[in-house]
Formats: sequence, structure tokens, C-alpha cells
Amino acid sequence: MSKTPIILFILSVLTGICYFGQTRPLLKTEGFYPVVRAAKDASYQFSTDTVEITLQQNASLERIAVFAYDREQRQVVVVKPLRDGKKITVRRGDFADYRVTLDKDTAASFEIFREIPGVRKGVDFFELLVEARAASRRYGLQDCLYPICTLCMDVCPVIKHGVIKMKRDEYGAFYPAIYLTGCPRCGKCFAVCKLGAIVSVRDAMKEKVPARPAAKMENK
Amino acid sequence: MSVNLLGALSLGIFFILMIASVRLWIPQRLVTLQSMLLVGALLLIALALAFGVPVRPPVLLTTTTLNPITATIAGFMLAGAVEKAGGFAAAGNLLVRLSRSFLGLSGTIILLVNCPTILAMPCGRIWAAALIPTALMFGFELARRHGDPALLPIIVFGLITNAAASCGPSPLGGIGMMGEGMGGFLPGSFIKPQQLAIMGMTLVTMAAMGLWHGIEVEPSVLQTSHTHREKLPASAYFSFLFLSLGLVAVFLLKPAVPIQTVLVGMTLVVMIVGKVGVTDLLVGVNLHPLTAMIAGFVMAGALLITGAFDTLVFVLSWLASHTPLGFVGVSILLIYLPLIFPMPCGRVLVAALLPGVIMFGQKVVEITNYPKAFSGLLISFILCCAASCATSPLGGIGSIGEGNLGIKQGVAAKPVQLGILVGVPLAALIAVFLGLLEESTVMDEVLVPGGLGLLFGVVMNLLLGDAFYKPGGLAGGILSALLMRLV
Amino acid sequence: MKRYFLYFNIGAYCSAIAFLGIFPVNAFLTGYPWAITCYNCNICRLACPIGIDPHGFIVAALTNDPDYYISTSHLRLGLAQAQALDKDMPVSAGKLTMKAGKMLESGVDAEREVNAVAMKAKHVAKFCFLCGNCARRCPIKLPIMDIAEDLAKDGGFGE
Repeated sequence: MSKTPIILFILSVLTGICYFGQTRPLLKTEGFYPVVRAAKDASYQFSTDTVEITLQQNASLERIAVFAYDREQRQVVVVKPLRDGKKITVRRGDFADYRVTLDKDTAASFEIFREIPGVRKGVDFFELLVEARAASRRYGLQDCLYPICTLCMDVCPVIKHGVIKMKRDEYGAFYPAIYLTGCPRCGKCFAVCKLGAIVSVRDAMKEKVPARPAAKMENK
Repeated sequence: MSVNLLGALSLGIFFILMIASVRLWIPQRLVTLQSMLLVGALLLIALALAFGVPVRPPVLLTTTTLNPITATIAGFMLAGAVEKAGGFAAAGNLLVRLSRSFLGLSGTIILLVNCPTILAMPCGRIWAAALIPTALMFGFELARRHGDPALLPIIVFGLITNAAASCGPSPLGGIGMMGEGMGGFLPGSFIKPQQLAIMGMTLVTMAAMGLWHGIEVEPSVLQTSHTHREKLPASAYFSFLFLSLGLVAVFLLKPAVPIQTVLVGMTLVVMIVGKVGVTDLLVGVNLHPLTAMIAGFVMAGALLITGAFDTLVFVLSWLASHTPLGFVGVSILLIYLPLIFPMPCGRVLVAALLPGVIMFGQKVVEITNYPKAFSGLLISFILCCAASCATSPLGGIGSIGEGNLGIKQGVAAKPVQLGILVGVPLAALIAVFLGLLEESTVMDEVLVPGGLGLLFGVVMNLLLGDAFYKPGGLAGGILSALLMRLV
Repeated sequence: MKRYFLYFNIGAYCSAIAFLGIFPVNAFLTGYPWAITCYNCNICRLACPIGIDPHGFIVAALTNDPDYYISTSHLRLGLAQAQALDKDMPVSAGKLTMKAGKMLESGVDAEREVNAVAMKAKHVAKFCFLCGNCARRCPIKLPIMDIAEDLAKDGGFGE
């Protein structure tokens, strides 16, 4: 019994060492307003086994999400690397990475595909893209990986006030709609967005990033 | 997938060491399994160097899974503290009282033996350490009351089989989760088939234990006083209730806190309330399974370096294509491999063979064009690995029961093996015909477990010499099955 | 047990226990002591949209080995890029699976997009989007992406 306080003390010391000894990445923030990158304009060339996509402007990263809607109006996404910052090739046999099920205009759930050869077949994105085009369903490119990534909403200190809302544009791409009137300019949202969907207004101006118009609080 | 000389040699050495240890060709009194595995791993690394394969020492660390090791240590500590505080004696008393209630003897026994799977821990030894003393106390009381010593091994080995296999469906980092993750299944997919199969496995083990000849409890053991205290302090009941409620809370609330932290926290509370010292905690810790796990993981790392897994898949595929065994026969052989080489911890074989089993499973699906065979094969293999530590002659959980009851070494393993033999395919059948998590219906969730529970109740009633329809046993069976699915 | 065997076994057991001690030491050295609490359940493996096995980052921290090969089921990149990162990186293009260097030597177009089968932790970290879905799926919510972020900076652990 007399040793119990000693154990408690040792436990506390060890816990303290672990807490202070751990590496935690620092979130460097700048007090600027955030800007949401505009939709990607691109041309699509369909052939028998490939779809060549060429962006009008260089992308923010070396990879980008290509999406197409399936028959059940679910958004199916594949993350593809870019060549020369502008070109993407979707080949037959390129399996999709994930699928988002929608409830009206919001994401209800998502499913990450994991193809196991011979056991679980993935969704062939090439075929889906061709099918979507033939059936006049929406397809395109997006920077944001919502609903898999929700980091901007997780770090936003005023998210309860509805400052960031996830929306889909007319092409079917997800993007974070930021209502600047309620934004405290903490800079956390663009600091955590490694996908380049949100950038600081300073960087946007410096790099001439085409931006979406700021969202307006039309409901309030 | 290919075969190379180094892979084939290392696989051969691994299997020879396994057979030599399990068959006791190398006497354990001279060189224990742990020493054998570590020396074997060194030998494989030396071989790899001789063959010019680059050996990076960190690879040896990559196959080690810390979770079961740390969970087992924390579980042993808690069990040691509760034991010293008199919690298990209190549990024994409570069980005796429960057996006099509506549930009766058979219902109470069913609840007791299924407890490890209802609240499945990442290592079965946590429950074994906690409940074997209780089962012994309860069993002695009943054996005396009924004048039938055969009741003791039925209860104890039913519990041991259940506890051993329970690390398979544990949602707290059990072996099944490794299969779910590596096989690409949704979290929790493997729980239902394994839980129900474990009930079947326990049922068959208990029935076989009752009917098996040659299992004789040492008479002197029955006369030994088993620290049964007439008047227990309130802290004893508190520590047992605290243990039970704490674990139920973990399962219901699923906090984002490692189970190890919860167990250590509970140990501290029991230490303070039950006036338990540090030495009592150390008494509760059993190093054997821990060192066996570590040695097994090191061996798995060495096998990874030498490329033995690729060779294993090659050999299995060759056997399947060139022998009358075919893919089905080889799959069965693979599933029962842990029963042929029972290790003191099932994770030793899982760590060593799961990547190979997954690769072989893909082959089986390709050939048979039956995708469900993959989940069936994986679940069966994992469950067999989990349960196999009950039968291991190298210090498995079963040997704790044999030692406590004075049963000749290795005799009680036979009915347990029979239980595993029957229970394992049940998991595959449930996975294939009832489906996994995503395909569950209310009927699967209630009717099938309820039916199995009912069957358990009938068999238990018959084993105890009661009418098969005695309601206490039936209620105990149904209650256990439903608790398993609900908690 | 004869004395010789007795001490031989003691040596083996002590080695096994000492081996276990390597993990907390490494976890402290790399700056991720929480890595030892990983359940090894592999659930995070199903959480990455680009097919990285996030558990590999934990293994890399526990083994203090940024060169640990992490399984990547469908991480896509150009063959030339793969070869430039690590010529020993196993990659697949269609039904062909081999090391990136060998594939390039065998005449496959350098522009060809390949799937990385496995990649060194320090390289995978650069591809990770740090979306945090692995941490959200983890039953004990381990901040796995912290390791990826750390490795992505300079390819090693620590500041």
C-alpha cells in the first residue's frame, strides 16, 4: 500500500516525459483571409483505351483528383499524377480510389476502395468516365478530397457559426465555401490544407491563383 | 511468387524447429521454445548473409506486435491485483449464489465459460488469469456438492478454450483485426463469425471433455483447500464488480484510450481499495507467453528477410495444383496448421504466415472463382491460430488447467483439439453463408446466435444430467449468445 | 536442467526481453512515444484514399528507420519519378511488377505512370496528403499523420 504513491509518482513522471518528449508539428499560421481555388478548366480527349486530360492552367500540386458520377449519382474519384504540371492520362484498368454517396447535395458517406486481385474487383475509372460522358453525367477535376479530408473544418475555430461549408459546384466538384464575413482570419484552414484547395489571399495574389468568389451568407 | 534456395532452406529450418519443439524431440527441459526460436532466427540471418542477401536489422522489429504483449502484461497486473484483493473469491461466491437462482448450475456455467468472448480481450490469457481461479473455486464447490469430479475439467477447459480463442474476435486489437486490415475487410467484419464459432468450439470441447476417457482429476487436488474464505471483505466484492463493470464500460463506450491504459488505471484503483502491494502484481505476471510471443515475432522477421513467405505460397500453390489435395485440401491443411504446430501464442503463426495465407487465398479465389472463399479461409486460419494456444504443449493456456487439476500432461489437449477442429469450420460457414458485418440482418444477429445458445443450453443440461429442456440452462445459453452480439 | 542449458535459456530470455526494450527507446528517440500504443489492427490501412498503409509510419517510428518500406496499394507516379526517388522501389505497370530501376532499363517509357507497390517511409511521406483520415479511423485516434509530416520535411525524424 505504501508503494502505491511511488507508483503513481513514477507513472506521472513517465507520462510527463512522454508528453513533453513527443514531436508535434507546429501549425504556422498567417493572419490572412483564405481564398478557395477556382474550378479547373480542362479539355478531355477520349480514345479507345485512354482519356487524355489537359488542364488550362498548371495545377497546385503534382497530383489531382479526377471524378465522375456513376448511375446512382455517386461521386467516384481517382487521384492521378500530373505530367508537366498539366497533363493526366486515365487508362483502362485504372481503378478508382474512393466513392462518395450523396444525400441531396451533401456527402452522406464514403467508401475507400481496396482492390484485392482476384477477390475484390475495383471500379474501372476509365470505363466509368466514358460511361459518364456518354450518359451526360458530370465529370471533372477537383482539388478538395472532401469528405475524406475535413481538416479545414476540424481546425476552424468558428465552424459552429457555419463559416466553412462544403458545397458542390455546377460541375459536381466539392469545394469549401468560406463565408468571409464570419472568418476571424486565423489562417488555420489554409495552413492545414495540403491539397491546395484553400490558399491565403497573399499567396493567391502573388501566384495569381484563380479563385472562387467569396461565399455570401445568403441564409442569415 | 517464386521459390529460391534461401527461402526453401529457411522455411525447412523453421518447420523442423517447430516439429522438434512441439513433438518434444528437443526436450523443453534442455532448450525451451523461446531459445530455439531465437537461435533459429539467428541461424536464418546468418544464412541470409551467407547468401549475400542484405540484412537490415530494423526488419526484425517490423514483425513484432506490441499490443498483445503490453495488453497481456497490463491484464496480468490487474488480475494479480484483483486476485490479491479477494475479487475472484468473491466472484466464486457470487457464481455459487447465481447457480442457486433461476439460471441454475448449467446456465451459470455457460455464462462463466463464455465470459471471455463476451468481453474479448486482445489476449486470452488476461481472462484465463482472471477467471481460472474463479472457475476452480466454483468448480470445486460444485464437484463437492454433486460428488462428481468430472465437472471440474468440463468447466475449466470450457473456459480455457473460450479464453484462448477470444483474442480472435477482440475489438481491442485482437488477431482478427489484423486479418480485417490486411485482407481489406471493414473493421469488425470478422467478429460475428468468430464469436459464434467460439461458442460452438466451447460447446464441443465441454461435451468431449465430459465424454473423454482418461481425464482424471488428481484426488488430492480436490481435497486441497483453495483459499476459499468464508467471510470476504466488502473490498473483495468491490474489486470484482469494479473489474466487471469497468470492462463492460470499455466495450459499450469504446473510448479512444488504449485498453492497456484502462487496465493499468483499474489496477491502481484495486490496489488502493484492496490494499494490494506491488509484489502481488508481479506475482500475477506470467513471463512465458510474453517471451514466446517475442521470440515468435523475431523468427517471423527472420523469415521475412529470407523470403520464406514467398516460398511458402509457392509450395502451397504447387501442392494444390500437382497433388490430389487440390486447392480445397491445401486450404484445409493451411487452416489447421496452427493446430498441428500449436504455439504458446497464436500470434506467432499469424505474424509468420498471414501474408502467405492472404496470397494463397487470392490464388484460391482465382482458381475457384468463389470470392467468399477468401474471407472463409482467412477467418478460419485466424480463429485456429487464436484457439491453438489452448492446446500447445509448449506452455499453452491449457497447461495452466492441467497443472491446476493434476491432469496428466497433454491428455486434456485432445478434447480441446476436437473442439477447435469442429469450431473452426463453423466460422468459415458462418462467414460464407451468413456473411460478414456489411451483410448482417436482424435474423443473423438474433436468431442464429439465439439458436446456438439454445443448443449450448441443451447440451449443458444433458452434460449435468438434467432434463435437456431445463429452462435455466436454455436461458443461460441464449443470454450468453445475445450478450456476445450486444456488448 | 543442466547448468549449461539453464544459462543458455536465461540468455535467450533476457535477449527477448531486451529486444522488447528497443521499441520504447526507439519511440522516444524518434519523438513519437505514443507509437508503442498502436493496436497493430491495420484498420488505418483501409483509411487512406491514395492507398498508403499508414501503419507503416508507426513501424518506421518504432524502428527508427525512415527507409522502412511501406506498402502502397495504389500510389501512382511517373516511372522516371519513381526511379529518381529510389531505384529499388518495387513498382507495377499493368501485370509487370519489378524494381523501378530495372523497369526503366527494360525499356518501359519513363513517362509511363506506375503504381508503387512499396515505398520508403521518407518518400511516402511526401505523397501523403495529411488528410488525417487514418487518425480518424484509428480506434485510439493516434495522430499518425504527425509522423508523415515530420518525415516529409527532411526525410528523417526529429527537428
